Amino acid sequence: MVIGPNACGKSTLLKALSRLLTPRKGTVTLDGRAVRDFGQKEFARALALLPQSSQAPDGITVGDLVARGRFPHQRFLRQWSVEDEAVVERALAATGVADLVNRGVDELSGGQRQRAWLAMVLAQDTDVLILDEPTTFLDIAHQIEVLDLCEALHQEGGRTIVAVLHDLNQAARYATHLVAMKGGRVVAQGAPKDVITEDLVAEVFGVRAQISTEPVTGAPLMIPLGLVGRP
Amino acid sequence: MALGLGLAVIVLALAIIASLAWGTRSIAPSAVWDALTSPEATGDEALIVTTLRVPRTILGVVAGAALGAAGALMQAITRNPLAEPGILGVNAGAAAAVAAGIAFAGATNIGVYMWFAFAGAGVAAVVVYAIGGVFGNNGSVVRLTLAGAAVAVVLSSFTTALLINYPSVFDVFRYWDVGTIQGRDLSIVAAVTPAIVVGLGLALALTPRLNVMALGNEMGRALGANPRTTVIVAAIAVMLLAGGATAAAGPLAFVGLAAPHLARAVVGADHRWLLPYSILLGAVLLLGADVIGRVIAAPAELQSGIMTAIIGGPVFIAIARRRRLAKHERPHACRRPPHPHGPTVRAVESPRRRRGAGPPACHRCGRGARAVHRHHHRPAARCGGGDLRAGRPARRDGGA
Repeated sequence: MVIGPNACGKSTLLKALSRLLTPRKGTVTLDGRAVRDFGQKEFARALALLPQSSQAPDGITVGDLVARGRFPHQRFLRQWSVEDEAVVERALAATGVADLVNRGVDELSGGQRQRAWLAMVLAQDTDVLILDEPTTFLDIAHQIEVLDLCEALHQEGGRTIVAVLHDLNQAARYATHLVAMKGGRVVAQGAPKDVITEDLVAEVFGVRAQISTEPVTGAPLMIPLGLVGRP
Repeated sequence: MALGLGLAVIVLALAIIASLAWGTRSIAPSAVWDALTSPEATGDEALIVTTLRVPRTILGVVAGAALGAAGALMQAITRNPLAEPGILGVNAGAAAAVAAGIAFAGATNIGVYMWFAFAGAGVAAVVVYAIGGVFGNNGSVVRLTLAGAAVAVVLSSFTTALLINYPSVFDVFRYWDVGTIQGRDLSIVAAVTPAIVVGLGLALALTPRLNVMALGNEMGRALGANPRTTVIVAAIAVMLLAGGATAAAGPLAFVGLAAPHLARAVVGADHRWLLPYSILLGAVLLLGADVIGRVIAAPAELQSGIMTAIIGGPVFIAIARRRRLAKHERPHACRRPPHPHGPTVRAVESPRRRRGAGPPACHRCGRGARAVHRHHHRPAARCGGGDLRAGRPARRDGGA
């Protein structure tokens, strides 16, 4: 889970991880192999990305959108298989949009739409999922729904999920490994309770905060008090 | 959808029959059949069918199919619903290159000037894409369309100048200014058909990639489709299709616009269906326009290029007016406070809005709703709480 203020390079980091940007220095590796050595489709079978903003073409249905996630698994002569069908159905069921298969994406509410896109990324059937702010625009119930889904995918499906979140408390609650960024650099990383400290929140976000412990899960709980340097 | 495709084939067959039977001189279907099946049928009617109407019909099918496919490809690549080889100046480029080839290089044979057409189509497409901002990040639907219209005007005046000043050009294609499928003999059709068939094959092979690319450049790459190869292959296909059609028939507009839109109304956004439909409907449209042009002005004829413009012009205006030319699909966050009545305000699309009545108002509170509209309907990439009126592409969190 990646946290950090606006314009600190979170999306840039995710783009570099997912090969959309080539780093000027250094190499990104996946399972010990440089990502630029992967074939186009091969990489898309290993790692999926949901960018911050995506545009669905006019009039596309949810089912059609999710089916397009199968592209990297298809070849010129092997277009649509039973496996594709099964994976798409699982993705639709996991995200709870199975009822919406025949609805147009442009008719959906924000939460439904986000879940449809998540279903598309799931249909890619990769071990690594990169989600750029998957909960933005969603109400609290849908946020929790998406995060619980991610947690389930992580714990039961054994997938690695890299996500940018803006809500520190949610990040602390759901992350197994938290990375805090500022000004294009990683400032701190580790278990949430080691990363979310009063000093770090002040340094990274410029916010005075009190950190206590959430009574239910024991995750750190951040209560903002005000901006640093202001009463 | 497969059923619909069968239906489209039947409609095309009817158009072919109509094209063979109707004209300045009406010929009974039985006489047409005789002329086509028995080589010894001579007579006037048989002669008209075999030497005039058969090449004309085949060219109508081939060129219409090519333009329909080229339009669908261009709309997919540019994500611009108004993209079309006629409107974006590709056909005009092919025509200008052919005219130049005839005037300056003495290329009077279709086998030679066809290559000029491909080159002209390719160069025009690249120039229009460059001016229209397709290669950069600052392109817009309107900008690309204007760039195409401007280049098309420049190129067709160039063609006209050559037609007026070089008799040789005038002789070879005096109907070229508007485009027609009439009066071309079979050798011309035979020369361009292979190129068009290759172009159609490329277009059909690209359809899964087009589907993925339609989700946006980043998403397309994340799914493993290389945008650059897709764009290049599509450009080659458009060059062959539009260049081939123009080399044989002259610049024809609007077929490539209307066919994909009709197809989209039937099959939706899946290019694996959209493209075959566009091909069939393109052929139906061009042939239909040609037949209508023969019937309404009888005993004279209206050239098919004029007919496609008469039919296609209103289609163009309707599409430009009706559609939100760019829209986002995932919601986006703005720092601007939302309008109190929220995204339910449909002021700009409301049919109740009187034109010319000033800025549209919210249908519930009467307050200016344009800000709301902009707020909720801008493409995600353009909106982010920045100053939209100034057109500054603000990002929600400064690009983090």
